[in-house]
Amino acid sequence: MLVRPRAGREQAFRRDAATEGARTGLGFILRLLVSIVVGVGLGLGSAYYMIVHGTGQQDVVINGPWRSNLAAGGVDADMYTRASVAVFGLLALNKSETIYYTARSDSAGEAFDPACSYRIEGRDPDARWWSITAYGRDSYLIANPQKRYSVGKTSVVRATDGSFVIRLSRTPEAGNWIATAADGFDVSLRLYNPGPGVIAGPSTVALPSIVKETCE
Amino acid sequence: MMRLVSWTLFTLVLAVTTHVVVVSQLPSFIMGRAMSAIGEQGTGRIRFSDRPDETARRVVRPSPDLLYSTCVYDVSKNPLKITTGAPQGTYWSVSFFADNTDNFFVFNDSKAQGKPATILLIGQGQQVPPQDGSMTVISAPSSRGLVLFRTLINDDARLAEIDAQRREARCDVILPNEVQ
Repeated sequence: MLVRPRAGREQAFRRDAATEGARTGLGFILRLLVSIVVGVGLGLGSAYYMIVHGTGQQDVVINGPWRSNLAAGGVDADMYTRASVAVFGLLALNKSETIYYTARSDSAGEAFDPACSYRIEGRDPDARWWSITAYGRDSYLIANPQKRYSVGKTSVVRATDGSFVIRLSRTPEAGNWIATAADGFDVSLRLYNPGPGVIAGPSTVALPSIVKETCE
Repeated sequence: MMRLVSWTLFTLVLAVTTHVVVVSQLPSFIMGRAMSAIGEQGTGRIRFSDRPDETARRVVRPSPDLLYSTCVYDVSKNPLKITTGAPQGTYWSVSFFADNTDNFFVFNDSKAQGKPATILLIGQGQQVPPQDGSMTVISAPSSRGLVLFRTLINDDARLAEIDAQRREARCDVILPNEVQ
């Protein structure tokens, strides 16, 4: 008569222990899953932020609305620069051959609005050859029936004093005109074989300004 | 409390590891995809691409003012001989990219002084094959990578002429002891 309760207690103890063990195991797996999701998510999110926003990159110069990473393409580039170049400018030449500037806002610091038109004005940058090209949000050329993707040193129409005005807009305009996209765009300025003025002062050398005109 | 600290540390280590792996490996991954897309004819064969427009999707941010020619290299076994064309009256360059996107060598029309040039690309530790000394010899930091020729269309009216001249460029795999 005394054995039965003891056996019952033992069975109950084993049952409770098994349930607790299962609970602990399930809790561990849940915590592991949460940690993996949060950890990988944090890692991916921070990598995306650093690459897209250029945080942590070396040799970044700002010149008015133009931004350039002088380490792009170079063998000394840090991992953030390499990653950014791979995403936004694969096969970029090093700075001795070409300096690439990108503008995502106008000279007043306002981000490009696809509903607005802009004018790029200035004089020839100090380089053997230069071009200004608009790209869509996907970093490819913007489709337009006129195939007006860029204006360069040999195609730009200048005023008698050597200055030029290039218009950026969705609808065609007379003279120097580059088509933009309805869902967003940015602009690249390429300086092939940059002159000594650019090499000595990439953040201070005179580059064209970008001014907002009208908005739809 | 200790358990919470352990899990937090584990999560942070995982976040840092993911971050570093993604950022450091992304260039090689994207370059690998680009080489696969560009080099579908195989390594050491040159591809002459049409003038870029909105349909050009192999590499981001192409310049519509340049004609691009490319060849994927693999110098793990044999060196590669690159012969440039010599388009006249315009800018051209041939640039070499390692598999991590580094631009480790550039040669342009100013250096060529209007003449075609020959460049021998060798792998790490490879012997330079016997040659007459007229070639520029460079060592590739990675066994695979990409050679990219850029030729400027400085006048739309000259497009056909410039296109014909840039098509004189060649990429040829050569045997290690082949006399050049």
